[in-house]
Amino acid sequence: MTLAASPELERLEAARADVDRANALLNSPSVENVARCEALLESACSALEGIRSWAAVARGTPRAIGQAQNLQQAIRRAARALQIARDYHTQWCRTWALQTSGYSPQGEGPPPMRRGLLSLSG
Amino acid sequence: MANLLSSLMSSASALNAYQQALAVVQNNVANASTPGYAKETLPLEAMPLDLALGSSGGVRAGTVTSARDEYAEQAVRRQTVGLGAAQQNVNSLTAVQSQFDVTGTSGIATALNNLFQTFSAWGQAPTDATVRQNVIDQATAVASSFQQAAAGLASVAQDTEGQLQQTVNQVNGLVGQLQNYNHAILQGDRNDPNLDAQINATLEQLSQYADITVTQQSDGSVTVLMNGETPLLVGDQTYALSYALQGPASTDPYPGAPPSAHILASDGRDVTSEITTGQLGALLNVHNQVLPSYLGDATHAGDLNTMAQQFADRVNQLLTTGYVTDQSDGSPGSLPQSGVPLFQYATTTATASDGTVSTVPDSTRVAQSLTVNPNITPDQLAAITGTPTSSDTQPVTLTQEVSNGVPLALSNLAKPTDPQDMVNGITSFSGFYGEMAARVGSALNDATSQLQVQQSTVAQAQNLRQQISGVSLDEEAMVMIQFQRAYEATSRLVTVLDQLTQDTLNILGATA
Repeated sequence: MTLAASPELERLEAARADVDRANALLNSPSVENVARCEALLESACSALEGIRSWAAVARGTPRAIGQAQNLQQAIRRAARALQIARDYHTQWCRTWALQTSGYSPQGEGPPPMRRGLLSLSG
Repeated sequence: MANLLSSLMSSASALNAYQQALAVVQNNVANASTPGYAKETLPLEAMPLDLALGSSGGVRAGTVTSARDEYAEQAVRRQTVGLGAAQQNVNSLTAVQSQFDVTGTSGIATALNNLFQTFSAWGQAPTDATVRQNVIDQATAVASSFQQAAAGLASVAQDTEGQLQQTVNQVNGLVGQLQNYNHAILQGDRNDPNLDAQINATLEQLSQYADITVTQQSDGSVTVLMNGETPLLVGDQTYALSYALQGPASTDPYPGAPPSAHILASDGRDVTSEITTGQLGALLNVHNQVLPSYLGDATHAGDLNTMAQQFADRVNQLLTTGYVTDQSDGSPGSLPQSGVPLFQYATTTATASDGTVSTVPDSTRVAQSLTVNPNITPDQLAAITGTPTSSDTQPVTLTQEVSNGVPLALSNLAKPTDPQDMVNGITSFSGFYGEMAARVGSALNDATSQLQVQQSTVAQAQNLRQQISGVSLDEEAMVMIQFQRAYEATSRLVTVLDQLTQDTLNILGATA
């Protein structure tokens, strides 16, 4: 079965484009960028939700399968990037806690023992 | 007069401090693109003001502070070692894959296909000398294609050995550079920002090759360990790696197999099994795992050799159990002659426990040595199965008792149903070759995908490193909470999206 350009195929491509944009943002994972990923990924989810009935009709179509596989690869890249960024910050948080040893009795954070703090604000 | 002097001194001190601060800023600007350089700051400190004691106040320069954070540096190095491995895997597996032509224009698959077609043609004209010559020609092409594949893979192995030696040299060279930096630090240069930049750039370069752990000692020098346990540099003492090829022992199942590559620590300890990532790890994997899966090692013959040997043996078995269609000596009443083997390959001698010496296949050299029997002639190709007798006329007439069963049996090798016609009794020869080619193709796809991921993650780690600066603890805590929330929300979405895509792929009927 050959498949001409269809709105559903375009939605699949649009979902891939959204995930690619999320990947680009995750290259520099500031709080703002990670938050912006949410909107992009929600948009990709909506696009996919809307093409389920079409997918049954397009079953076996190489172009549709190829697009879906490309989308899957992009999602897995995003998952990996997100995981690494999360690990980075989680580990940083532990390091930071070790360095600062919590708060002083006056409720103030004691100064870090090491120079050169890491800014998470990007 | 004293106040005037104090004021002048205060002004001079301030000018000096500002000049130093300016020098630090200029150094930052000048080194903006220097690999490994971390921004420095010069805090200005207020000086005490007490005119009665002659303290004039003003400002003085504090200690220059580097914004480098070892945690961020380690994160970059951790991702860089993965990038080095992925890049090397792509390069090496591309070279391996090029030995498996699946386009249908050359290589083993095409040669096998052509030979199967010739067997089929021979079955239709068993006494046709031209067709039988074609069989010999196409068998020669099959043998050549196995030889070429084996030689190509051996050449990749040789290139990999060269790259391993080169990589070990590069690791030792970079460790040597670090030794010089350590030496300079121990001589008192520990606060030199350029030296600091050079050290970190060198460490980042080194992390492409192997998984290194770096710790900074109280004297300012860096200690470098490979895989957390093999010392490469401690103080100004280096511990060089070395590279060696080691062939199988004479007691191994395949003593004639190609050698495996080994990396030795400076004390001679074999650390090969510890090196699993970086360029060095990828090269070792290709040399000691991927290539032996085709060419064999001390414990197995390798798939290419297995296929070549089983194919040659099966063809020879079918031919030598048949009879030629006409009698070569022409004497009346004598039985038709048996066929002769078509293929031959390298053999070696084996001594049994009772001292008996026998000739056995040199199983790890079959593909590279596979040839067609140079003395075979078309009329020695046996076409007949059955039991011919002296009463059969010569040339033999195909009857119910004697038939052209050999070419037909050989044709069946193309789409076999008999386990004897399959590799290891399971897969057809064409299918087995396809699996070999698919294996390296799949590994290359994975490596390419992994390379893309690693390129992104290294860029990400470098960006995170750029975010280093001094900020307040309160701000950090607040940002951390924001991060947690953003990560959780985004992770959930990624999981949902991945599941939705997998469902879509299932509905579309995609195979894994």
